[in-house]
Parts: sequence; structure tokens; C-alpha cells
Amino acid sequence: MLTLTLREQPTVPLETEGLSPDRLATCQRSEVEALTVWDGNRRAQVGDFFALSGETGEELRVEGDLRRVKFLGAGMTAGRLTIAGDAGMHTGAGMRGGELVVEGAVGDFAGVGMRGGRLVVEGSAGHHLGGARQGERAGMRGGEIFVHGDAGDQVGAGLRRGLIAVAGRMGDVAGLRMLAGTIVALGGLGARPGAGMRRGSIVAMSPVTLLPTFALANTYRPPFLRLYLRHLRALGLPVTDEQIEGSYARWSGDGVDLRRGEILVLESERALA
Amino acid sequence: MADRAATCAGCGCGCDDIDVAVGAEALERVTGTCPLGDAWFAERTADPPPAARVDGREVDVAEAIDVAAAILSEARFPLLCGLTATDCESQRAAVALAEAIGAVIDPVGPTDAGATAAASQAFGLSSATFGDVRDRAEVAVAWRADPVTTHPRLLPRLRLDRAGRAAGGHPARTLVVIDAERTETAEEADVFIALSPELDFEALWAVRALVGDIPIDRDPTAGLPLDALGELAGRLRACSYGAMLYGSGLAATADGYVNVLGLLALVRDLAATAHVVALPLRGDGNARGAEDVLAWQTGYPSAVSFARGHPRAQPGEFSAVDVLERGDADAALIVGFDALGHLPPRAADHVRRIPTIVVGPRATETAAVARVAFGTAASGVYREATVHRMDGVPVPLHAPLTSSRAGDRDVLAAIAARIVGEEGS
Amino acid sequence: MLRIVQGRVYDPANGIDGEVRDVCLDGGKVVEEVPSDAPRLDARGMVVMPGGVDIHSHIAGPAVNAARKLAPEDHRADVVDRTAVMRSGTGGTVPSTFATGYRYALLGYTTVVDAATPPLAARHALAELRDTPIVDAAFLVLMGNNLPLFELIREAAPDSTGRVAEAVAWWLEATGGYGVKLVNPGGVEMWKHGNRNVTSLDDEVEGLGVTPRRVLSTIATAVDELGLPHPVHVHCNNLGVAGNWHTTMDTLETLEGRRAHLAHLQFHAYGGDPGKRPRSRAPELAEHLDAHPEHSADVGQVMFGPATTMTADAPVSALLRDITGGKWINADVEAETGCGIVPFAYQERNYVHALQWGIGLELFLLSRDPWRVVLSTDHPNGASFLSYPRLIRLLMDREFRNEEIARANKKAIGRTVLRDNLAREYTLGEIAIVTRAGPARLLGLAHKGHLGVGADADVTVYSENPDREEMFSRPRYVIKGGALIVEDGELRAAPAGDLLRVNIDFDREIERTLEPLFEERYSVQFSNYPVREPWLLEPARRVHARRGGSER
Repeated sequence: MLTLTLREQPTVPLETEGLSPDRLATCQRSEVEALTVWDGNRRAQVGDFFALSGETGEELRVEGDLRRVKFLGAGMTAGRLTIAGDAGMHTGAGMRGGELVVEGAVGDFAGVGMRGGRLVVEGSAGHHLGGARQGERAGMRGGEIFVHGDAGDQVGAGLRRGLIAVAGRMGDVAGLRMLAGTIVALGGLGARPGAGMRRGSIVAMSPVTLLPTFALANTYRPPFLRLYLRHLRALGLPVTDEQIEGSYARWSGDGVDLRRGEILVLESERALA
Repeated sequence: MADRAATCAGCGCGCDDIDVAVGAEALERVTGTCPLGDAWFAERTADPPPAARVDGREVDVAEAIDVAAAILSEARFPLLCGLTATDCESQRAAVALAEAIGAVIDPVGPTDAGATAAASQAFGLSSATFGDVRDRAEVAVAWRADPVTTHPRLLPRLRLDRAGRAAGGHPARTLVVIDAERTETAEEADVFIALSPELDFEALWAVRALVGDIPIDRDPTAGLPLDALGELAGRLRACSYGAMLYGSGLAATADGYVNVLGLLALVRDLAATAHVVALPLRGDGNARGAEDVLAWQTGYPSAVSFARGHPRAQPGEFSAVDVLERGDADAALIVGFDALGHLPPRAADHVRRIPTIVVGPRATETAAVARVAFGTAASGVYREATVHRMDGVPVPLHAPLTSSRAGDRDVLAAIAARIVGEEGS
Repeated sequence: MLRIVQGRVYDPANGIDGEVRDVCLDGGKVVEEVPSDAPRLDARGMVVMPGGVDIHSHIAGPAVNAARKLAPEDHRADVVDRTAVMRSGTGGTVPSTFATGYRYALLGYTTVVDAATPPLAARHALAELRDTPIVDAAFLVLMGNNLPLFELIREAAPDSTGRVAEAVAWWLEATGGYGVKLVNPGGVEMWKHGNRNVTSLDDEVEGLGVTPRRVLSTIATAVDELGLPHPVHVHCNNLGVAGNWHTTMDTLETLEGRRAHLAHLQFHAYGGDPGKRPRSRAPELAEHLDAHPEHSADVGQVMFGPATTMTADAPVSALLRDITGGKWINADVEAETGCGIVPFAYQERNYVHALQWGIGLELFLLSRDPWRVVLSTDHPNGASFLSYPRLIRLLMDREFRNEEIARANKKAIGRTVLRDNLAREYTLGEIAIVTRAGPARLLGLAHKGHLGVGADADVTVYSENPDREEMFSRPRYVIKGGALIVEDGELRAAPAGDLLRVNIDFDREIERTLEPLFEERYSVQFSNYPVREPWLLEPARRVHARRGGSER
């Protein structure tokens, strides 16, 4: 395993596309040190900012105060990347495969335009988690994103395929204009979930105010959801038996956009109270 | 004392029918303006700040150019912002400078947010110039906009004030105002719909449903005035030409992006049955020009970074306020904008922390604390120039008075030349 | 001073078709001779042509800029870095201004005409052209839905143009324009009447007392009376509608005996019934054009791949919006025109798209006079101008063309004559005509599109290559105004280009007539409407109209 340790927090944002296990696997350490990073508007090298230890391989570990470091693991296709600490914007953006584990928090745009693989955030995520790139209709097109903390606004905007689960609170307009796929809010869900959604599912475990363009269809125990929730529990997310066994009110919408989507709201004692 | 034609860029209306009486090196009288316009001409002719200051010390312009060039070429994350109050020619020079120094550039003014630019990238936008709204619109809706206060001449120019609507030769016209309480604009309206600001998106979404005969949840506790909104939906759907005016009350808020998204989606839905356009009211005199110039030079209307030698855009990442609040920028060049007076506290604090260069004709708090401050000759009074009205129509600014001072564009070009010259040598 | 040595020269305007000779340049012009010690450019084994001339493109102004703003996703992957000679920018189907100038020059094009500028936005278009380096640029002024002009047309006695000619001249002078463009005359005004349109030349424009036919014939006559260098440039009614070839024919017959240029003819060459599947009527239109020397067209070829439809014909954009369900821009310009924008992708498997592609090729291959049916993709509507080299290969390389035909939608190709294995292959001389000499002649640009003594020193030198797409994608040298701009596909310099505008004598008294009509309909002051700012208008070169035949 190769470990990159950030010597000190950069004073301006550091852009580091290409720091992903698949790209580094076959490099010599000297080659890794020579890779380009952008120190604000200056072209620099990985070696200028990171100390390297260990050998390159399937696994890559990045350590340090990385809050100002952008694009870590962006576009990775395979292997395992562990980020020990907080990471900056665009972490795992456009990733296609492999596993990216952030032991801290991530900034905005994490997993934007993701197509495959798994992104795990043990802390909280910023806005646009698994969202759409500016101007693009579709956001995340595949893969899984699991956040153990909270997430900001526009989670899964334009989502076309894949699963996003957040243990903590999810911000506003989760699933904005989503096309398909599944978003699971184990904690609270902010305002206007599923605005403009065409297809797909948003799951809420606590009462939520819906737009007037969503209509109550029925109440049932969706089989697919049990599978998903067991899967999430196995991954260490806080899923209760009540959530797995419980019945859900199914609201169909968005009425102004096709109405083929659904928001499932857990019907629990708490919810009814 | 000679009478001269002038154009006012005190807001996004770009009124080009102003008369000024010119005396000895001063405007004796300005006629045709609204109170905002009077203030605009006054502040641009009031005793100007020194032509150049470094650390508060008056210096000659050349020395200040050197200091500014040194700060900007040193910076690894320079921010160039403001721009919405200067002219298109200066905006062209600003983008060139931003590119030369690998800066982030983002138009930001006191009243405008990038919400319309960003939201229109999702659906597009149907709009019109003033003349077509004035001569064709049967229904006009002011959604959380109070032009009587923010753009005093707009309603008369669009013949949407009571007198204008009553005047013959036009189809029967209706003005609908939607706001929290009865604004001055509401007093001019035929219909007023009270709506609390946090329900804008829900209401717009509901009107979309009502326009499309889509059943909606009529839960009264939601607090939506559904009957009034239903009537509005009927009017809009039935009209042959309609206009939806909205302002910073809708766009420059925490929900600005989704609010504008909702309004543009509604306008898009209405296109199936009616000819309805959206008219975003811009507060600053050339906010529209800033987006236009940035777009033709870079492809993007806002939040552009040149850090890597070519344009990249990302609202939220490269927006001036975000860049400052995160503390990313290590230097700032602010054009024609009193940043300290208008930015959110955290952003303003960072402006105080980093070396800042201010270019503009007015004495502002920001200019007073800047490392380098240039007092320029105001376009529209001392310099001819172009601004784009909020509807995109370019109008000329005239120069009834002369000044030996440099304009914004000259200062920006001189800084760029100084820096590029060094690169060359 | 420069001597281009021993290249194979294609200069059809001067009857030179592949003759090996020197071309001498001095003072920005082609000259007879230069001293023997003048710098030399070895062009042995290379092909020498005049710089390319694009007669119909959309590169500047509010519509183009709205399209840029609309599609950040189209720019992200296609960037232009700042260099010692280049400003940075972005590409995609609608590039930023600097990128537009560089990329035209890198293709060997040195003159470009923007085909649709709303006069109210002339300042905006001019400012963008100032940021579009290298190429000399002209723009055509939209006049087909102009309310004050409608008023003058209505007032004019039958068979007379009344005050229309003076008004047209005034508008060209006020904007810095080069020529007159009519887009769906009457139809764009009707779009503002509850999203309607006109469907025939005799539909009345509601409440305005004119018909498309009246607008067409009055303005075409006025343009001839004014002796403008370029004839009226017409985007016919019913663009894209099945069966619209009748309208196109009707338009040509209405304009018989008067000069006229039809824009993007391919989009107007459809048979069949409205709402049904279109058919090809290219053969009929090609034949009609052959028989009418006073008429010309550019093809508006569609190429498979991404495009951005961008037109003053707003009702057409609404149809496209309903096809894609995607992004849509509409922008009404008071009293003058409209604008519609829809990002679009042409697919070879799609019947309609393949038919459009086939009809374009039919028009190229069936027309006997390349001087009057010239190359365009109506950039960025049918495709980006960057696809010209591929289009040239389709015209020059029959084998390649047949492979491409085999890939396209069979039903569609079956509706064309392309299956009849059209043998024609364009020669280099004919390519030089449809991409340079022809457009320059149709535009009345006497100093462009040829290499005779006195012509502008705009020259493109290509390395010979049997793959014509390769050859035309990467000129060996491009010279603009005598300066070496491109070498081996690399930009060496990026000087500013000139604005090409028309110069006409006209009666200033027309302003007395226009001002009242104007104040009623516009939201800007009459006195602020004409562009006077030198930084927008200069440097410019004036091309003189020949009013009453005589140059003044």
C-alpha cells in the first residue's frame, strides 16, 4: 500500500485529479512524486506537498488535513482509496469503480456524475452529493454512496441509477429532478424532496412535508426496500428492525413531471404521533 | 449651459432618455431620472476619491499600477469580482486581466445572484425585450418583485402602471403582484396575492400543476392561496402574451436557485398554450452585461476560474461569496462594488484579511481599507461606454462631462499590460 | 512581403485550376511580383487556395451568446488554453469568441459572415466580433419581421418600393451591417401573437396588412435598387416542415428576375405532407436553381453528431423543443425579430436526420453550377464549421461517401437519388469554388476568394493528402492579410480582423419618416439606436453599393 501524507494544509485549494489507486498502481514512487497537481494557479508536483511511504499497489492511503485538497479519487476505476481525515470538493467525482473510503468529512460535489464503485463517507458530506454536473440533465449514473454523518442540499440531483444512503440529516431538495435510482434518508429529510422527480424512490424514516404535487397512493411493505435496508445495515449504517419490518406510505410524484416516482415514508408510532 | 443627452445605469433599466444640463465641469440639472437615477448621477459626480492610493497614501497612478500588478502576479488564488456596476468595455478588460493572472472571476453586486444564470442552464429561458412586453403583454405578474421601489421607471416604461394600462390602443391588461404584504407595486396592481417568501417554490409548483390540470393536495395547512393561484393559472394559460417579472426577492435568497428553477419551469409549461416570457429584474446597472461579456469570452456566464490557463465554471465553487467565505482567495481585485458594505460578514472579513485592489469611481468603505485603490472617471458621465439592460438590449452611455482621469477599463488594461509585459521580458 | 513558391494553385475566379506557379504577396495584397530576395514559402507539392469564405454562419450576438450560456456541459471537455498568441476559451458546438476566430483560421477560413443579427443588438454583435480574432467578419441584418418596415411596405404602392429602399439603407448604415436577411418573413411576428406562424406566402400578418410575399418581393426589389453587393438573403417560410419545397419554389418564383440567395436550402427541400414523413425534393430545387442565374443558395448540410439549433425563426425552435423535450431558449426582440435555441443531435439511424443529410448531399451533387450552390452547415445548426473537412471528403471521395451512405437509415436513403450511385466527385477546383470563390462572388467581395493581383493576401496552403478530411483539417500554412497566421496546424499570430460593412448613399430625410414609427415601437431612443462608437465600428472596410448600377 502506498501512503501519501500531506505535509501541511495548502494556503489555497490544491487540485489533484489522478490521485487514485488505479492510476498510481503501476507507477514508480518517483513517477508519483512527479505527477502534476495545481497549487491554486501554479503547476506543482505531488512531491511538493505529499510525503510518500510504502509501495504502490491496489491500495492507496492519503493522510493529513485535506480540506483544501480537491478531486481526490476523482474518476477512479478500481482499487481502494482511503482518505484519513477530511477531504475537499469533488472527492470521488465521476468515479467508475473501486472503493473510496473517507474517514472524515467531504466537501461539496462529492461523487458528482459518479458511474460506478462505492463512496463511503464516515463523517458528513457537503452539497450536491452524488449530484449532476452544471448543465447536465443526469447526475449519478451508477454506484453506491454511503454517508454516516449528514449531507447538504441537492443530494442525488438528476440521479439516473444507483443508491445514495445518508445516516444523518439530508438537506433540501434531495432527489431534485431525479430520473431513477434510490435515495435513503435514515435521518431527517429537508424541504421539497423529490421536486421534479420523474422516476425512482426516495425513502424517509421520519415525517416529511411533501410538495402538493405528490399524492398518497397506498401503504405497504415494499420488498425491495427490505433488501436495501439489510444491505445498508450490513454496511454498518444505523438501520432499525422497525424500518426493515415497517410499512410505508407511498406518495407518487412528481405530478408535474411524469409522476412515476415515489417517496416512501415510514409509518411508525413516532410518525403517526 | 448646454443640454445633453444621457443614459442612466442606476439600475438594470438603462433609461436612455435622460437630459442633463452641463455647466462648468458639473451637471447643473438632470431631468427624466427617478430618485435612484438622481443618486446615481450624484455619486458619480460627487468629489471623487484620489486617482490612486497605496495603503491610504496618495500616489501617482503608475506607482499604484506597479503595486497592484505585483500583488496580483504573486497571488496563487486571486479573485476578481464586482463588475455588475461597470461598463461592458471595462468588463472585457477585466476578463482579460483575470485570464492573465489565472484568477477566479465572478460578477457580484449588492442585489444580484447568479440564480437565473444557473437555473436557465436546466430548462432554458423564454424572455423578451421591454418593447414587446410593453406592447403585447395582456397579463403581467410581478412575483416577489417591487419595481416601484427598486426600478421606479420600469412600470411606466412597460405601461404596466395604472395610467399606462388605462391608456388606449392596448389590449386590456392585468397586473398581478405576489408578495408577503402590500408593496407599493401591489398598489398599482389589479390583483394582489399574499404569499410568505418561504412558500415561493411550493406556490410556483402548484401553479404548474394548476396550469396542467394536474390534481394537487389541497391541504389547507400548507398555507398556499390555491384559489388565487388557480385564478392566476387560468389567466396565464388563456392569455396570448404574458410576462413574469421577478427580482432579487425571489432569486437572491437561500432558495434562489430552486425558486428561479420553479418559475422558469412554469414559463416552460405555459409555452404549450400561451406566449409567456420571464423578465428577471436586475438591480445593478450592468449585471446583465457582466454575464454576457463573461459568456462570450469564456462560454460561461459566472463563477469562472482561469487558474489552469483555460476557463472552468462552477457556481458554488468559484462564486465570489463562496470563495471568500471559505477563505480560498489570497488577493482580490474588486471593480465598482462596495464589497464590505454588501457581502455577508464572513466574506467581508476575508476581504479585510487579504491584499485588496479596488477600481471604481466612488469613494467606498472598501476603497478606504484597500491596499491599492484607484479612483476612476465614471462612465456615463465622463466616459462613453456600453451597458446591457436587464433585457439584454445594449444601450450607449454618454459623456456629458470630460475628465483627465482613467476609466475602469484603462486601469484594468494597464495592470494587465504591466503583468504580461513582465511575463514577456 | 512573401513569395509562395511553386504550389499547385486553385484560383477558379481567375481560371487557374491546379497550375504550378508562384503567388506573390505585398502590403496585404496579392501582387504581380516581389523582389527576388523577398522571403519565400516553399509550397512545392502543396495545394494553394484563397482563404476560405463562409457565407452563412452564426458566430456573434445575443443568440449565439445565449446558446453559450445554456450549455456549460458542451464546453467543459473542449477547452482552449492561453498561450503567447492566444486568449483562452472553450469550444463545443458554440465556441467562445476567441476560440471561434482561431478555429476558423486553423481551418484555412479568413472571412466569415454572421447571417442573423438583430439590429437592436448590433452593439452586442459588434463587440463580440471585436473579440473574434483573425477573420474578417460581416453580418446580415434581420429585416423580415420589422414593424416599421412592414408599415412602409404596406404604404408602398403596388409594384413600387416606396420609402423601403431608403429605410433598408438607413438600417444597414445604423448597424454597421453588410446585407439584408429575411427569416420566415411575417412568421416570427405571428409567433408573438399567441405562438402562431404563417404557412403560406399569402397568409396575412395579423393586423399589419402585409403578407410574406409582399415583404419578400418589396425588400428584394429594394435591395436590387440599392445595388447592395449581396442579394437579399432569405430563410424561407416553413423551415423543416414536410412539403415545404412548395413554399421554397413559390419564394423563388416570386423573386424571379431579382437577385436572391436562399439560406440553408437543405432545410427547405422537403416533400410529403405536413406532419407526415418528409421526402426529398432536392432534384427539383437543384434544377430550378440551375435555370435561374439570378438565384443562389448555400446548402446547410446536416452532419451526424451534436449541433445547436439557433435561429431567428422562433416558431421552428418550439417544434424542436417538443421533439427533444430538453433545453429551450426563446427571446423576443421588440418590433424586429425573435430567437429560438435548442441543443440537438443528428443520428444516422434516424429517418428524418438521415434524409436531411442525404438531401444536402443531393443538392451538392446534382447542382451543375458550384458558383451558385455553395458550402455551409448553417453552423451550428446543421453541424459545427469544424465538420467542413469531413463534408469536403464526402463530396470528393465517392468510395467514402458510399460507405457513409450504407450506414445511414436505409428508408431515408431510399427516398433520395444517392442510391443511384451518383458518380460525381468534386475536384479541388470545385471545392475551391464552393468554399471560397463562390461565396466571395455571391457576397460581392471583390477582394476575397481569389488570388488575382489586388486581391487580399488571404491564402491557405494544404499538404497534398488522399484523405481529404485530413488534408482540409490541418492546413500547412494560413496567411491572412499577408501575415503568416498558421503553420503546421499551430497558430503563430492572431491579429484582429476587419469589419466588412456596406457603404450606401441614401436620403437622410428617411429619418423623418422613421422616427415616429420608431418611437411607437421601440424602447430605446431613436438617437441612441444607430451605432456610432468607433471602438465597435473600427477598423472596418467599406464595400460600396452600386446604386443605379454606378459605384459611388
